[in-house]
Amino acid sequence: MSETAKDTEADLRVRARCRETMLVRAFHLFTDPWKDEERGQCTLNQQLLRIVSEAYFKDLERKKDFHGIRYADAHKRAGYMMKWIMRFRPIQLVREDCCVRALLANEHFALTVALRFIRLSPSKLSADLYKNLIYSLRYRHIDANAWALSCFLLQKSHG
Amino acid sequence: MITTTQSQAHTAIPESVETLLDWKLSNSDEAFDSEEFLADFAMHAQEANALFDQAVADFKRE
Repeated sequence: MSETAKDTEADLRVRARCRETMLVRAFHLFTDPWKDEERGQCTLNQQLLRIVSEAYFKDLERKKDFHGIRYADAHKRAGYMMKWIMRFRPIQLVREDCCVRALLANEHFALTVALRFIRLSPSKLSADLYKNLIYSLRYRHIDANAWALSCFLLQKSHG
Repeated sequence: MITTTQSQAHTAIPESVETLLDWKLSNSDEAFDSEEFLADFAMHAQEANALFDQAVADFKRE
């Protein structure tokens, strides 16, 4: 491996750690409005979160390298983050009889982070649209670029 | 069959590809690991949770 490649990989690791820290804090803010009982039904697995962060940066770096992009736009960041949160599902259930909020915590968290990435306030979306997005995250195999396009369209139509 | 005209058109492809790959629509240097980001996120999380409750209520009606 060349020195430049090593530097790039080390840099990616540093950025991934910063993102991991941010996501941990975001998770606590995300679950803060939950009832104590709901919060006790799931936990954030930091090993999985680290994989999410590193996979996100490696994946996005590949895309940027191919297109000669210096910084990825907010829609791509949102799409790629949604993809990797859904792939590794870092929020894990700790009980058998969980509420819907806990059962769909990864989908809900991925969407909330993505909406912040594109600076779109959730209150601007209808409950019906929100439900459809959660459903698509849970049941559809949608790739990062398609999510990036979805985020772009969401921002254009609701931003 | 490839005519001479089409063949000449093919020689122009690398230039077109270069143009396509040179799109710079994607540049954004907003930092997503900042305190400002998290402060905004807290508000987003409140709104998202309220919206989730409405969406779940919709699930329950079905």
